[in-house]
Amino acid sequence: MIKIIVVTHGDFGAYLIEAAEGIAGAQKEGLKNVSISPKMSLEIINEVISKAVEELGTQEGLIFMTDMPGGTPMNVSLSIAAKIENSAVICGINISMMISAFMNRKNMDLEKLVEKIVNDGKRSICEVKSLLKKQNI
Amino acid sequence: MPIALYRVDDRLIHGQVVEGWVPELKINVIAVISDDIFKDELRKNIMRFSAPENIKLDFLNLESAVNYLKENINSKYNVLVLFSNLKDVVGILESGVEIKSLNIGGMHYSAGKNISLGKAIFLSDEDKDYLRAIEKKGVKIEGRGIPQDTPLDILESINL
Repeated sequence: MIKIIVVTHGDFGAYLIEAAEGIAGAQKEGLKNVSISPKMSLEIINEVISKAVEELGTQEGLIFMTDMPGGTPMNVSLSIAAKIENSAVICGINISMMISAFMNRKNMDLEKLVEKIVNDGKRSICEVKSLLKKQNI
Repeated sequence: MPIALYRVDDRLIHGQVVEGWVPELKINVIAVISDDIFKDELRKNIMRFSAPENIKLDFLNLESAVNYLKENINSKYNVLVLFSNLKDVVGILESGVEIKSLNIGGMHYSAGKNISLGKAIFLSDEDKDYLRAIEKKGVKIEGRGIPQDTPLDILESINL
């Protein structure tokens, strides 16, 4: 099973996990959350994420799921993931992506799973009223 | 337009800079001044990814930064200059670069930084000395994470 570490600004990730688990079911293993507070130094953030990675293990593949592109959670995750061959860093996470990750991580390899999560995320973003109008619903 | 903002932020390019200061000051160029980053290809690549696409990124060590900053005083671009610590600012000032105002965005907690000013500014005794040295050079110093925050008079806070 692919391991997942969620790294976000504040407790966003913890709430996102809770919400996604409500739909995809509780994730009993292979999942860690790291909430980044504005008070934490890069050094401490690096330590906390590294410890979570160590606890998860990287053998079966590891995905860092982070929030905004270019934000500290993504930046620090990238520098750690650079040293882990079997890993990927995804940014821009939303609930569809979390659910996609939870539902598919047991039966896909890393490359396929990453592709699936990113595609599911992109497909989940739209303005719905205009979309419905186009389809004459 | 000369240098639009000098900022000390140990996270360098991150959300507050990219989403806050860059649009507010219509920044075209971000200059990262740090001897460590200058040598670190991985962190440079991460920052290249983090920065908005239409922004030019310049990486400089302290030595090359002196001429760079003097030349950009009359630049047609809006330049945002990032330092990771106060010591580097003192070094640049001592090399003859004139800085009118300095924004302190983030100096996060580590051992010895026992003076806390708000969410993201932690100072050691050494930092206090650097701040006083910077002020002596005629630099106005403010603490402010994002443009919308109320500026904090840091010198006043450390002199209390």
